[in-house]
Formats: sequence, structure tokens, C-alpha cells
Amino acid sequence: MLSEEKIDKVLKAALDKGGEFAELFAEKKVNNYLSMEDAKIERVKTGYDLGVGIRVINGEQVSYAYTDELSLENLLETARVAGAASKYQPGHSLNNLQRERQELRHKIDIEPHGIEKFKKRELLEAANESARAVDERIRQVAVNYLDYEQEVLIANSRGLLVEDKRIRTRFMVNAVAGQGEIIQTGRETIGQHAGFELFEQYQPAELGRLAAQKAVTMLEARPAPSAKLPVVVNNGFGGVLFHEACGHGLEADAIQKNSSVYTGRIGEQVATDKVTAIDDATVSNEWGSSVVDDEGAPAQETVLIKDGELTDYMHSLKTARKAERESTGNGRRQSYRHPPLPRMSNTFIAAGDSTPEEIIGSVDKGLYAKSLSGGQVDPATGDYTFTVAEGYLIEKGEVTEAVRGATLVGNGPESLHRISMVGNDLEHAPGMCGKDGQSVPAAVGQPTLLIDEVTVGGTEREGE
Amino acid sequence: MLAKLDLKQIITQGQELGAAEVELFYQESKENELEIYEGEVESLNSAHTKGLGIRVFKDNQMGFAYTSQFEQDELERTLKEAIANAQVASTDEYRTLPELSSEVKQLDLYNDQLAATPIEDKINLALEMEEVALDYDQRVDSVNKVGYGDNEVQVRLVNSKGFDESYRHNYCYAYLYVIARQDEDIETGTAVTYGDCLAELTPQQTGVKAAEDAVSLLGGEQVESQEAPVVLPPKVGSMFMYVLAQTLTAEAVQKGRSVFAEKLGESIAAEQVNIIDNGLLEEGLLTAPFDGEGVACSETELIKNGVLKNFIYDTYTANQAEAESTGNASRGSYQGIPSVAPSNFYLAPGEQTAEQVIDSVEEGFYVMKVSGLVTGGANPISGEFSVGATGRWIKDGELTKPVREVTIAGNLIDFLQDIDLLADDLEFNPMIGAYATPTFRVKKLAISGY
Repeated sequence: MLSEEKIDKVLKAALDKGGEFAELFAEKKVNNYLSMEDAKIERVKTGYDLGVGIRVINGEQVSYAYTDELSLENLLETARVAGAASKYQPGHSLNNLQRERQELRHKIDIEPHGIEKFKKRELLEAANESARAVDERIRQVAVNYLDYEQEVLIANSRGLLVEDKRIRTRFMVNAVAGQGEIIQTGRETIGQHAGFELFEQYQPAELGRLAAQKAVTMLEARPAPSAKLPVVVNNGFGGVLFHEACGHGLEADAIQKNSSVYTGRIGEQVATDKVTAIDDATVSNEWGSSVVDDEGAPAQETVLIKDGELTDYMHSLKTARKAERESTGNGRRQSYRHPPLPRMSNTFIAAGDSTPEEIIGSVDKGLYAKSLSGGQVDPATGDYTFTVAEGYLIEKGEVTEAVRGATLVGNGPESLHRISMVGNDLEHAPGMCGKDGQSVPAAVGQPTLLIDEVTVGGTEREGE
Repeated sequence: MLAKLDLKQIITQGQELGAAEVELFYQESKENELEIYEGEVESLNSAHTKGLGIRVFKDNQMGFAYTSQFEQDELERTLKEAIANAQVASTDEYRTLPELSSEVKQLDLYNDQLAATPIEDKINLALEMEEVALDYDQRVDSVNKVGYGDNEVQVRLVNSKGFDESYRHNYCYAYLYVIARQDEDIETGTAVTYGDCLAELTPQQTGVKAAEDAVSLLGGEQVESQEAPVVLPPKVGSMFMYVLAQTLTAEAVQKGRSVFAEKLGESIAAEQVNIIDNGLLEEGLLTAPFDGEGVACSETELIKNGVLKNFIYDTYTANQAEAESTGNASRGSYQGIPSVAPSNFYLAPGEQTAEQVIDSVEEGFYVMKVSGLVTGGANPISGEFSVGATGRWIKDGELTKPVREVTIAGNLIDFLQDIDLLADDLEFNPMIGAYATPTFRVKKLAISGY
């Protein structure tokens, strides 16, 4: 994207006023998006992004400037803007750039950008048709497809120069079923750091059918009860609960600002001994995987909680520098327009040894949260609210009636101490994670697990 | 930079390449952001960017592509891609450019004073806010985030039907996130202030507000499950407007995604409820002379005296319903395809003061935070909602003990019917868009606690 000579000049200009560390992040991205609703292909979009972000760190202070004009003249000007706030600190010079090559690969079989647009259209049509064929009560089906190819180049004044190419493909189906006044939705999402081969593994028609069945099932559901109950959370996207309610509190910026309940608690028991939690950007072709993070640090596996004991936090370059250690490869950013932050990549609770049947069988009266939709968490306290998109009652160890409108309300750190069974069926699921106005692809994951007590807020009224 | 790009020439080129109609949305923006931590500048961001969104129409098909690079071959590639995209889209007779809008008002949305403000003043404002919050109470543990930002945007929209208009606007904002602690108990409070220039920001008031919110919630407990009156201040009420707005777009109605689809002309809310979308509102956050496809912005009464009067439309949904566009095509940035969305959307204020509204409640819940409402806790299709809530218990008209870890649940239809008292303190919540309410009372909602 940029010559080494140009990069060198830009980094020098960034350090001209005496900053300690300068970094250049160049990004070239092309994305393709198609969406379908009302059985019509409504939106077909291609986007070209190209730009450079320059960061200068000076003590605790970070200056960031970005531009989409890649002329040398303009890059030098952007570098000077980023470096302008530096106070002169002698002895910080520029190391010679050394191009780094990483061993890790996420193999892409079929680059999606080159695929005929009509082939992509066929995927949407297949999902739409199969969803509508499930039941005549399916009133609406929305499907969307996204692929992108993001090339990044990262160079810094320590001499790092590294490139990575991320190709991600995602497909979503949202089905709406209605019967009289009752309307329910069902959703299926797949996404990987992979190309068009994703659709060899997952058939769009099958995803459409699953989403529609979910919506139809929930039509029959009765309003969820309100009570404190044992809750079995299903594998895969159920991991969003850990991600939101605990994962963010293990990001080192929150730790260093003492705005996390996990500050200063390494070595302490923060969960039952059934719980091991891991962040791992090296998982082959997983949605949140990469070869290097957005600061050029190699992707790695970080064990956050081991058998209930807090073992590590997720670091970026800046937080690692403050903690006098190495980055864990969690410095991520949405685009060249955003400075990197400590962020999760693929974060999940590791598999245990119970079968899902044993877990459900152990509950006398409880809720089976088969799929969660969104949620919200106060990052400082870990207080969470999650909506159960597909829920069932558990009675005497059996999954019985479907219930709608259930909300899980609790506190993440407390809930970790109440996980009494962990299944052997670990699965990952893709999501978009938001923090400080930046959105990055992150996978969540977990096996089926049991939380002994959660406040379930339902919509059941007396007499219903 | 605007001068370098010959938009009319690009339209001609697009038509030569095979597009019947071409629309160009040019956007240029300048941004500044800074954050303070413990009395020091922690981060400084600045940027100057531009880009072009190209929408083409051919044989009732629409395609879109965008780029930030304006070299000749780059523009040609983007045009060709937009045309290729149109060929994949479904044929739809309602996909058209709008006819020329009769009058586009000239609005004064640009403040020279803001553009000339030195960075030191911005830093000092954020520092002041941090200090005010820290000094508010001993139990304020830290100010986790305090920041200032400003943005200047210039937009020019040109299309092959002859529309060619532009505007620029600027605004600034400051926010903070406070953590209060008492023994093991932690609570958080946030507040935002915004305006056209620094003088309009209220660092003292905003700093106190965030700290007060955090401290007053310390020691919260669940209450017993019950139905009770609920009072919502603007910060929380506006989040319900966000959910309501999703159900009042013509797109939601036409696609069967709105609980109000069949209810036009019916009474769907209490008589004192008036809901308005106004793209021209002077104090609004999304005010502009024209919308994302060149239709003049306007004021639309959606619910008047409790009766559902209208929905909000863009050109596509208006074509489909044989209605008029209300000037509500929104595109977010040059990277987005226009689609129908609210502008400044609000519940009109009443005449009481906020204190009088709280005073009116013998036993009820004053909700200061809701959680999960805008992330799936409300279903715009069925109208059902169930969300986490934190706040204070009202007893004999006074705010008493803090309440946490409860949910409030109900249905949007009952919610609107049960709004029975409105205060005069209309305020926008810039955290989630441009939604506003005054403080108001809802006769009853289901609260679940222990």
C-alpha cells in the first residue's frame, strides 16, 4: 500500500516534536452487501475505503489523526498533526523498519469479492424461499449477505512493519411469524474469517428454515413467568452473556482505570471451578480471528480464567506498556479512523464434561434460554439485561413449554459464581462488538451451561 | 476540496455508462475529539475526510457504491460497480429519485464561533467537568471517561433530475461517565451536554448531574413485584421514543413490522399525547434543509391528541403508499444507502413541572436508567417490552430509596394509553440519536423484583 521509504518519512514527521512512539495504520478495504426483504433484493452495495491513521504516544497521552488522502504531502501533514501535542522527550528515535512474517494463516479457499453478484443473490433467494415455505404464518423474511476484504499495513517507530489481509463473510436470516395479534421473530447468523467456502459448510436454505421454525415455535409460546430461577443457557451465542457481562471487565483499559470489578484480583477465585474462559484470535477461520491484531502484535491465546481462578487480562500495546509486559494481541480497531483499544477477539467459556441432557435433567423447575438476542451491560458493575429470543420452561428435568418475552437480569461476576454445570458442546458464534463508538467483529462462545439462579423478568400477568 | 470535484461531469459519465438516473451525495467532515483522565489530556483525535456515495437507477433497479478516492479511474470504477449492483437488484417500480422538491429552506446551521475556538478552551471545559464531578461527593470514586468532541459536516447533493443543493453544519458535545462507590457497592452515572458552540455547553450542570445520578443510586435493592405508576425523565423517556419511532416509519408498516400498521386514524394513545417528527426543528440534533435524497425536511404530526395521523416516509415508501415523502430519507454518511428514518422525534411537553409530576405519585417508580431497551428488549412488531431498570422509589411524592435489578414490562400500546401526566422539560438525548421527551408519568407498568 505504501513504500517503506514513505512510511519511514511519515513516522519521522510524527516524532518530530519528540513523541515516544509513533505508529502508522494503513487500510484498504472493499465490502459487498446485499439485502432482501419482502421477497425483493432491495439493497446492493459496494464500498471502497482507503486511509491512514497515525498515532503518537507520549507518556499517558495518545494523539490520533487520520486521512483518506494518501499523497506524501498530506500524510506528512497528518503525521505532524498527530505529533503536535508531544512534549520533547529526548532519546526516542526511529528504529529501522523490519518486515515481519507470521506463521499463522487463515486459509481462504474462495475469495468472495471475485464471485459473481448473481451467485450471492441466489443465496439470499434460497434462504428467503425456504423460510417462507416453513409455515403460512411466516409474514416476513429479511436476509442479508456481507463480505469484505480488509488489507492492513502496520508500521511503528520500534521498527515493526507487518501486513495482514482479513477476509470475512457473513449471512443473516430474520424471519417474522404472525398469528392474530401475536408476532414473533427468529434469527440465524453465520460468519467467519473465511470466503465463499462458508456456504459449503452452511446451506442458506437450511438457515432460512431454522430461523422460520424458531419464529413459528415462539408463536405458540405463553408469556414467561417472573421469578428467580435456575437458567440453562444454550451453547454458541449464549456466550454473549459472558462476553458482555464479564469479558469487557477483563479488558486492561478498564482494569487500569479501576472501572472493572476485576481490578487487582489476579489469582483470586472469580468463578466456580467449572469455569475456564479464553480469548483466542488464532482459532482457524473464526469470525474474530486474525494473523496480527491492529497494532501488529501476533494473534495469540490468552487464558483469562482457569478453573475459576482469574489468570490474565486482555492487553493492547498501550495498556501493556503501562503494566510493563507484552501485549496479548488484543489491540483492535474498527478502521483507520479509530485508535486501537483492548478488545476481545474470540472469547469463550471452555468445554466442560457434562452432556446438555445431564444439565437440563438436573433442573427441577427452571428456564432453558435456547437463544438470546441482544443485551446491555453496565461495564463498571457487570449488571446485565439480556432478552431471551427463544425460551422454554424446564420442569422435572424436561424441556416443556415455550415461553416468550423473558428477560434475564443479573450481575456478571455474581453469575460466574453460580455456574454449577458446564457442557461438552462448545460452539462459537459471530457478533459485532461495540465499545467507545467502535464496532469490531468478535466471536462469542460457550458450551451449554447452568446458572443456579438468575432473575427472570417475564410478561406474564395474573390470570394468564 | 469541493471545487476539485465536478459532480455534474460525474453524472454525465454515469449516464454514458448506462445509468438512467444518477444521484451523488458528497460529504466532507472535520472532527475533533479529546478525552481527559485524572486532570491530564489522555487522547486527542482529529480528522478531515471526504467521500462520495453514488446511487444509480436503471429499468426500475437501484444500485449503490461509494468511495473516498477521487481519481478519474477510481470514480469510473465506483460508477460501474453501482451500475452492476443495480442489475442484481429486484425490479421495483417504486424505486425512483424524488421529483424536484418545490422549496428547500435555507437554514443557518453553522456557527463561526465554534470553528474558531482554540483547543485549550475545549480541554479546559472537559477538565472542569471532571473536577465538578469529583468534588460533588466523597463517594464519587472516579470519572471513568470525560470527553469533548466537535464535528463540522458539509453536504452537497446533486442528481440527474436537476437537484443541486448543499449545506454545512457544526456542533459540539461533552460527556462524562462517573463511578460512585460505597463499600462493595458500585453505581455509575452518565450525562451529556451539546450545542452549537462552547458557550452553550453546561459543564457544571452536566458534571453534577452524572455524579448525582451515580451517588443517588448507591445501596439500591430490589422491590417487590407489583404494578405501579412509573415516572420517566427525558433521558429514559427518549429511549422509549427510539422504540416507538421504529414502529412509525412507513417501511415498518409496509413490511408488517409495526404494531400500528392497521391503526391510522384510530386513537392509540391518551388524549394528551402528541408525537412529532420535525427535521426543521431549530434546537434539534438532526436538523437539515433537505433529507438524504433531496426532499425538503418538514414537520410531521404522527400522533395528535392521541390519534395516529401519519407515518414518516421517504420517496420509496411514499411511492408505494401513494403518499408524500415527509423528508425522512436518512443515509448516515456517504457510505450509506438512503432509507426512511426519524429526524428530530419527540413527545410534546405538557404544562406541569417535573417536580409536580413526581409529587403526584403516592407510591411508584422513578426510572433513571433502563437497560436492554434499544438492544432487543422491545419488540416493535408485537409492541411488547421487558427491560432492566434502575432508579428510585417514589413515596408520597418524594424520591426515596434506590431500586436496582428489577425489570419493567408492558406493551407499547398500553404504555401510550397510560401516559397521563406530562411535564414541560423537553430534552433531547444525543446518546441514541435525536429523540426527546419531557418527564412524564405512566399510570401503571408491571415491575418485577422479588
